[in-house]
Amino acid sequence: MLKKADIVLIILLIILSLLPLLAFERPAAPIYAEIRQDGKVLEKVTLTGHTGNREIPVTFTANGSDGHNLIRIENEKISIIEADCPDKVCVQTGPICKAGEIIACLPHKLIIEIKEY
Amino acid sequence: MNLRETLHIALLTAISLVLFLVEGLIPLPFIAPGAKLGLANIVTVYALYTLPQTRDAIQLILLRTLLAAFFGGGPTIFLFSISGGMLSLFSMWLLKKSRYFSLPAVSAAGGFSHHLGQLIFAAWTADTLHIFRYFPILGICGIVTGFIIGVLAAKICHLAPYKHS
Repeated sequence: MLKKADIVLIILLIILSLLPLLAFERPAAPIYAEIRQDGKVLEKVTLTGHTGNREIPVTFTANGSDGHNLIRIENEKISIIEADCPDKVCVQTGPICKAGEIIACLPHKLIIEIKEY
Repeated sequence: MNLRETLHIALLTAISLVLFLVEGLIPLPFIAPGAKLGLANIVTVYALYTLPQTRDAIQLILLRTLLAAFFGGGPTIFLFSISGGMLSLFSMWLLKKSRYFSLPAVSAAGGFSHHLGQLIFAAWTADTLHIFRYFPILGICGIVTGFIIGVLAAKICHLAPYKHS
């Protein structure tokens, strides 16, 4: 049988367990964008603290045809602003800026993924 | 320490080690790194409540952890287990000594502090407090599994051939 003191102890332990949630409310891990084409990492760009604009053109040959994407980094956001792929899903995805977010241009096998250091 | 006590500790160590190894064979869903049922701790709790001296329980944990490291785990796992095991035993001993709490609650605190000990060691070796982000999930896992272990251990303690405390 559980006594009153037991229940108090268990509730106290649960509260103690949850304490780190308050301490780590804002994960401060810096993030970077990884640009991959056909599995190969083309470039890593640190987004945390990035200021200004930068455009990275990506061209490559796949299955005998040329592909072209234009990647734009504006401050801490990254997006694909131009592409000659058929569906343009990558352009429509818009800018991303949080760890875990992803822009994919599947026809060109181009992936931009935001990761934590 | 007489022969009877030595044998008792040896036997409990063997049972504890077997439980530890058997648990490794049971596929359990992965919740968080380090979270598991901790069946071997049934023996730890039993030892704390039935063996004549607390240092017997300390011996039991040392032996079990050391042997478990030989059976797969290695030195790093050993250091993790021993820091968890010792903090767990210490807090259970303290709570038991206060006589305010019943066995399942003491065991729940044991499970909780087992993970706390491991995370303190991990934070120290990895030199980052971010490890404690795992604590909400691990701490609660420890409370739940510790409680279950405590209920089982309480039933077994009733069957103990002799009691000292």
